[in-house]
Formats: sequence, C-alpha cells, structure tokens
Amino acid sequence: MTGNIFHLQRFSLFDGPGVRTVVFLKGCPLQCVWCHNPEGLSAAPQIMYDAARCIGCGDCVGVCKNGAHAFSQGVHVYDRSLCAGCGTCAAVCCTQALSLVGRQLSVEEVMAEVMKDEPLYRESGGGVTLSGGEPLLQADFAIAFLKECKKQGLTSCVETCGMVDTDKLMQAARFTDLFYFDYKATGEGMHRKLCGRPQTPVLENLARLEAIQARVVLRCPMVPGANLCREHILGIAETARKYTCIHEVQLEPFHRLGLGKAEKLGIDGMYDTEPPARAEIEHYCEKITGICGKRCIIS
Amino acid sequence: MRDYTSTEERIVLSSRMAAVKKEISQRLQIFTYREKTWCCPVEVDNLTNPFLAEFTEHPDAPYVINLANSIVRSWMETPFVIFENEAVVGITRPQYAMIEHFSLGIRGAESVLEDPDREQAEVLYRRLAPLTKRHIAEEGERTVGRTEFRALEKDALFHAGGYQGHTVPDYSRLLENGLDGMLALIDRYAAENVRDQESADFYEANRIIIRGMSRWLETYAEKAAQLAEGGQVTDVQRRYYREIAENCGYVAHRKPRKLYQAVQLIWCLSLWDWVDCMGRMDQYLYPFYQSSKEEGDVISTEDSMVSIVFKIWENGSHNVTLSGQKPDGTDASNELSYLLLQILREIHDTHPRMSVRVHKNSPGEMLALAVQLWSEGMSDPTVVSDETVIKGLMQIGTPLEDALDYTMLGCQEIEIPGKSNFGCEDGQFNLAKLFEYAMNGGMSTSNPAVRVGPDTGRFEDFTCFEDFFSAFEIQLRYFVRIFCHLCDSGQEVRAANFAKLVKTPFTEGCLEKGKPHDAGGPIYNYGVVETAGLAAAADSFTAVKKLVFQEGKISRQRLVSALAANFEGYEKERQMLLNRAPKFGNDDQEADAMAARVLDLFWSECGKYRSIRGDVYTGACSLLSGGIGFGKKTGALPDGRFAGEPLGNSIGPRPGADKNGVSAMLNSVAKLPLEKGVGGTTLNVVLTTRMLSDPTLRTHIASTIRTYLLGGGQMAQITTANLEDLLDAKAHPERHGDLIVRIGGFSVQFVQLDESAQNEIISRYN
Repeated sequence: MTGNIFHLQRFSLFDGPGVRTVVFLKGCPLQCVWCHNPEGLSAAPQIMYDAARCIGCGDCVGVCKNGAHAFSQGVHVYDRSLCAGCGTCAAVCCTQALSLVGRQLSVEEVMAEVMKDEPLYRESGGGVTLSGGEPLLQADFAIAFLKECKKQGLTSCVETCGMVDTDKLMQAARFTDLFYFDYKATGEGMHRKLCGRPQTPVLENLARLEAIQARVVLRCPMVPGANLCREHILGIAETARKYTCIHEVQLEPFHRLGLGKAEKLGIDGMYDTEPPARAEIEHYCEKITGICGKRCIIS
Repeated sequence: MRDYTSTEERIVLSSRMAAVKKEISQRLQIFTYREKTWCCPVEVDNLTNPFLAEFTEHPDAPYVINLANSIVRSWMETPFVIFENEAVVGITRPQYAMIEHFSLGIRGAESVLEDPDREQAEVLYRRLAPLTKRHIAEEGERTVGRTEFRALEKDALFHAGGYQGHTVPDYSRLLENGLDGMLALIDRYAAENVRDQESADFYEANRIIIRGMSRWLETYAEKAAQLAEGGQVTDVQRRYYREIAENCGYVAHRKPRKLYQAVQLIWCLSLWDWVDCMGRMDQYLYPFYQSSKEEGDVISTEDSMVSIVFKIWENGSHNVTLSGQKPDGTDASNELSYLLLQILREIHDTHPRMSVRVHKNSPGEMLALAVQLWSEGMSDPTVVSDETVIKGLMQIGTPLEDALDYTMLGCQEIEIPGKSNFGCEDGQFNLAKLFEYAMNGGMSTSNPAVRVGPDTGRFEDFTCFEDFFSAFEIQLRYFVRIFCHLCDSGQEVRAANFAKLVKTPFTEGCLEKGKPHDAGGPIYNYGVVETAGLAAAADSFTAVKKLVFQEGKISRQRLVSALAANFEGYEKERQMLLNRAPKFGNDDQEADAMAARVLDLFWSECGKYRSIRGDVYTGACSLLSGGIGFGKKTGALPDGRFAGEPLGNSIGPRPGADKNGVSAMLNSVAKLPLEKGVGGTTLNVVLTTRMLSDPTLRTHIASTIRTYLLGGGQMAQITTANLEDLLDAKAHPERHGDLIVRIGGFSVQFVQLDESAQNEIISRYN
C-alpha cells in the first residue's frame, strides 16, 4: 500500500511531545483561504516552479511530453494547464527550480525514513506525527502506517481538520496517542465561508473522540480579518470547556510562509494580511484559559 | 523519558566577587585581546628580556640548564602583582609568548612572522633563531628535498610539523607531593638514572624549575605580608593579604592542606606551564573541596573556586574538563562540577572554556545545565562523548583505567592528563587537495607543469569509479608517508630544544625514563594529525560516482574542463553536481558511507606510522580557520565548490549542505569512524534561539545531543543565535560586540571574524 506524501520533516520540535518526524500527506477536503501548506491542498501530484532558481538550460522542454515548458525569447514559460504532474521535468532539472510535490511511498519506505531517528524518539519521548493536507483523507494508508508505528513502539500524533470519515477516524484513533484537532471557525456560516465546507460533521467527529476519550489538543488558526473575532474566541473557549477529551488549546497566529509556496504552485487568491500582534494572541490565551480552565498557548 | 529537571542556582556570587568580576573585565579591556601579547618586542618599557639574558651571560653552560634558569628568571622578573579583592595570585607576563616560541625552534618563530605586528616579530625572530638547535625547514628539505617540500606546503596539501601543542600536567602529582616532595621525587629518579653529565643536567634542570616555583611563591608570600602591614588597607583586604601570605608561604614547600592552598599551588603550575590547560579540575580538587567544606567554611570553598576560575579567565588558560567517569566507571559529577559551570555562567564570556564529558550514566541535570548556558547565549561548555572517546583510546592501546581519565585540552583536543604528549596537531592534511592530485595524476591544478605525486593516470581515462578511487588511495599512501616523516621532523626539533620543560616533572614517565616531555618521556606519545576538507572530498567522490560513472550525466572530459574553468561556462554542470548528488550531512546512506570511507582510509593510513615520540599517529578533525586557509588554495571540486571557497567546518557537512534538520546531520556525523579521531573531532552545531526558548524545548535539545553522543558521536559545540542577529551583526558590527559564536574550537566575538568566516556561520542557517 502506498500513500501520497509531499514531505517528511525530521527534527520537528513543535508538532507533539519530544522530537518528532512529521509525515505530510497530500490532499485536503477543506479549502481554507489562509492555508499555510498549499502544496497539501490538492490530492494530485503537482509541479512547484521556482523561477528564481532557473538558469535556462532548457532540459525540461526536451523531456515534457505535453509541451508544458517552452522558452520564449530566452525566458522559461511554464504552462500549468498542460502539465500532467508526471515529474519528468523535475527529474532532469539541474537546479531544482522544478520539483515534484507528492510521491507515492509505501508504508515501509516511510517507516525506513522515520526509524532513522528512533533512538532520539526514545530519548526525548518523541515519535511520529501525521499531518497534511488531511492525513485521514488517505485513511487506509494512514491507519496502516499508524498501526506500524505502534508495532515499532513509536508514539503517534495525528493532525486533522476533522472533516473525515467517522469510521476511519475511529479506526485511526485506536493507534493514535494524541490528536491535534482543528477548530477554525465558529458557526456554520463562518466555517463554510472560510473553509469551504460545513462545520457540523467536524463537530460530530469531535464528539466521537470525546465518546472514546481520545487525547485531543484543539488547534485554532488566528487569522486577522477572517476568524479573529470575539465570537470565535468565545467559541474556542466554549468548545474546549465542553469536551473533556481536550486537554490543551493552541492558538496559531497567521503567518505568510504559505504565500511563497502558493505562488510557486500557481495558486492564486490566497488570503493575505498582517500577522496578528503576539500580545493580542497572548491576551486571548488568558481569556480562553479563564473560561475553559485548560492550558492555552501560542503554538 | 529522561528527567532533565532544571538545576537550582547553586551559588550566588558575593558582592565581593562581583567587584572582582568588574575589575577583571576592566583589566581584560586594556588588553582587549589576550593574543595581542602574543608578540612583544624583545625589549619593552625598559624591561630587558630575562630569557635571552640568561643565555648571553652563560654562553658555555649546558643548553638545558640555561633554559631552566631562563624560565625561572623570566618568572622572577615578572612583576609580583596582587590586585585588590583577589585571593589567588600570579599573573602572566606580557612577554611570556617569546619563551613559548623559543622552545619551538625556528618553526614557532616563523609562525610569529604571521603576527600582525610583523616588525617586532622579526626582531624576535632574529634574536631567537641562532639559539635554537635545529630547524624544521632543514628537516623538511632533508626528508623530501627542497623544491618538493616547499611546493607541497605552498600548495596547501598539508602543513607538517604542527604547533607547540597543549598537554595537561599532572596536577594531582603536585598536590599530593608538594614542591619539596617533587624535589625528592626528582632526586629519587636521578639516583636511579643518572649515568653521565647529560642525564645529570636533565635532572638538575627539573630541580631548577621546582626550586624556582618555591622561590616565586615565597616572594608572593613576602609581598602579601608587607601589604598586610600597610596603613591604608581595609580590614577585609588585610585579611586577604594575610591569607595570601599564609597560603603562598605554606605551599612554597609543603603540600596543601586546604582548598585555598590547593588552588594557589595549581595556579602557580598553570602559569609556569604558560597558562596551558587545567584538566579535570572537578576531580583533582574535589578532595580538598570536601574537606574544606566539612570544616564548615562554605564561603571559603566557594571563594576559592571563584578565585581560581577568575584567574583562568583573566589569564586565558584553556579548557577545564568536568564530569565524566571515575576510575571505577561510575559517574564522576560532583558539587564542584556544577559549581564550576555556574561560575562560568556568571562570567558569561568567551573564556574560560569548559567541556563536559557525557556518558550513559550521566545525570540529566548536568546536560540540562549545559543546555541552559547555551540558551543564555554562551557557546560553552562543549560536550564530549565518553563512550566514543574511551573506545577510541582503548583501540590504540590505552588501558581502560587511563582511558577513563581522559581530559579535554587546548581547543578540542583529547589526552590522558599528566601521562601523555599527544603532539597536539603534529600536522594538518588537506583531503580536498589530495582529491585534486588524484584527478590530475599527481599534479596540482595550481602547478600543472610539475608532477609531485605518483602518476596514477588522467581522470579522463578511468572507466569505473573504483579505479579512480584506487588512484586516490595511491596518492594518499604516497603523501601520508611524506607527511608523517615531516611531522616527525617537527617533533625532533622540539625534542632537541627541550620544549615544554616545565611539564617534564609533572608528566608521568619523564623522570622515570629520564627523557624530556617532547622526546618520548611521557607514558603515552600518540601523534595527532588534523584533517581538512573531509566533506569536500567525500561529496566530490559521491557526485563523481553518481553523475559521471553511474548515470553518465556528465562526461569525464567535460568535468575536467568544468573544474579547470572554475565552472565558468559550466553552470549547468555545477548545478547538477550541487543538486543531483546526495551530500554528507543529510543522513543519506550513500553520501555518509563515502565520507566514512574516505576518513577511515586516511586515518588508518596515518595509523600505520609511529610518531618519533613512540606511538602511532591518530586522527583529529577540528579545523575551521584551517578549512578557510586550505580552501583558498584548493581548486574547483566536483561537489560544486568554486576554487578558493572555504572547505567546510571540521567534521561537519559542507556549509549549508545539510537540509534535513539537526538530527539527520548528527546521524551522518555519528556514522563516521569518530572513535579513530582520538585527537578530537569538532562538530559545530548551530541552534536557533527559538529551539532553546522554553524549558520543554531545552529538554528536547538535551535529548538530541545526548542521543548523538551516546550513538557514535564524539563532540559537539553549540552556537546559539538567530539569523537576524547574525546578519545584523555583519552589517553593524558596532552593535553586536556581545554576540559570541564558537567555531573550530574558539569562542569568538562574531564581529571579529573576517567576512568568509562570518558567511560560513551564516550559511548554516538554511
């Protein structure tokens, strides 16, 4: 069985306990306007093109079967509409200006990479975190992989947007030590507008995790001009108070690192704004803790 | 999961010590940079050079007697200064360095010529040269022939002959015997071993040194006693003068009874040993610390330790080693280990430097304190793996008991304190340059007209990678032989000149055998060769193997042309070499195995030669400035590096090539045969301030470092900064005098580095 993986990030200190390797699975059911991993949105393989690195050798033109690459007056023109995402051009690009996002890897292949830091996981209490995209969109692969992690004695975390098949979520929960569960908006209207899908199924899944008393950290992006409002802060606090499975809330201030990647992927219309002031978010942390009685930190 | 409970503050400096700290800071500012004293004119401020005077006044006396008397005279003519508030006395003389150079022979004097103050250096050189007995340049010419010897050194293939080297004297021997006891020891061995006038002179020279130290301490005692009687003295100060008088008077002959006396006595030896290295202070001082504490004088024990560390700070001795294991293999950390680290934390400067030995039973608390210091912006302590070092020492024949007692010294070197002379950089060898020779059939790109190595054929004619690698092996065997012979020559010069005479009675084996410190006297006499250009050579091999021989993406002829043109007109090839072949430092099996293969080949070859002092040559890899210097003269390489660029940082990956995170980089390095790098292998790890910003993250860093050290790693030194800091410091040096980075064994102010070294550090932020 293979999964469509777009990144394996080692030495991650901020995605769960200890030192971890994060496995990023490609494809997401939501379309959040602020997405900071836009390369995880589409389930299809994509070409990322970094024009600044191109030295104009022209090798890509020769290998592309669909004519997606051309040179016009010495300038490299890449027509994404013709691209099939086969990655042939990336394989010959000497500067890595062209790179293929999304590789089919087997559970064993991912595991081999993950196990390189096994002594460090043991020493630090770390392990593996599945992220994305939405990792449970490729549920069978994710479950098989999580199962393998347990077999190897590794702790496992899953970062999920919650918009997933409930049965699969329950299966995954059997092999998951900690969920990072997204709470992105308060109310159907806001959720639909910002994430493109309803919130009810998300909250139903959170209730299911509550029913089995999974360990959950509530993760909330803080996007000025989008969801950063009193109503939503209260929504976060109320949700955290309501569900006993949630033991911590993490607020994630908006940042702009996703914008550069979106540009290289040819994705237009990403949301852009000034990142919020840290003091403001710290203030919300206090407020949320005050209401729900649980730890609330900036992640 | 390990418990890294943070350490409580163990000491709070008294206001008196805060005052001393302030004073020392001011004194250090006057010198601004200790090495400014490195070279002084032979006559300065109407002080004649006592060192030269002794030789001039007694032209017919035996060399070694003149040398011993010169050393004593130099110290007796150094001003006897007691600063206010200090409790341990003795300062370095500003001109001490000339004695160091003298004992080196000509080579040392030549290195003085690189001193910024060249005019004064030349005066010194002219006066010292006729007094030394043998010159390394002559030795090189004798061994290899004049033209070849010069050509190889000039071409930056290697630098043979090394430096004066550091060693740690046996402080325990001094503490256990006292100076009179040392005299008795010398007499005893003299009675056994004196056969002729020469051996009689050798033992007499040792006596002269010891008697000189007694006189020096007595003089300080008298001076302090006089000051104590002065009218303008506060009660507190009077008490300190009396303490100093009592302590110095006591240890001038007898062995110390309390900690205060012990630190005064070891400081005397450390000074006379040209402020070299302190060794395992938390071990040899611990019995004194314990008994002084049991007597209830808590302030005095802490005062004593602060005083000695402040002396080290002020005068610039190298490397204090902490923790590690006891002779029975149990953890050696004690209260003193923590106290010393806390004092270091309080000083918060580039000196003194400390190293912490880590082993599988190390308390988490010790490493946690180290991480705490890094998080506060310090580069010390360096951390070292007992597991790797002890394994390596035993592999070359050191018994377990002595291997367990190893110490760090100098920048990042390793040895058995009081028992060894590891040569400490007998020479430096540039593997990247050797790669060039292999590509060019024994010729350098800088001088393609002259073949200096064996004719192993043209690169264009190799049909498989292994044939090419064999050519490298042949070149390596040929040049390592020459290199080791030249390193021996350097040692011969030192032995003939009785270098490091002060260490001789304090190094086990010298008195016993009747042999000087640099002539095979000590018990262990391994040679140490420094390695430069490892990552560059290894990555070049990996790239050539994959892109030329396996995939055929670059033809042999085209690669040769690209390198010859320094990639001008060959940017596509350079990009392929950079991006299409794996690089050492990413936990990539192929690239890491290549680095291990190259390093193992080189160190094993060196291990076939026995240094003239008696034991085999072993490996080391802790050059940064050398990586820059050697790089300047190394041509373009198939790792994508342009001609003249730095060769990378000691044992670490090519700057900026590690893109898989800290753990992957550490795994790569730990795959190298580091146990064979008995001389010390420095790994510079740059951590961002964010990684150390809260207690949980600091725990993760402690775990990461511990995993590396216990999993085959040998040494790590940490630089903490954020990228913005560094970029801003480069642009506005005036604002960042406090930014301390640690590279290649030195903690330095970032703003004092030249641009290429600054870029090297900056490039480590991916």
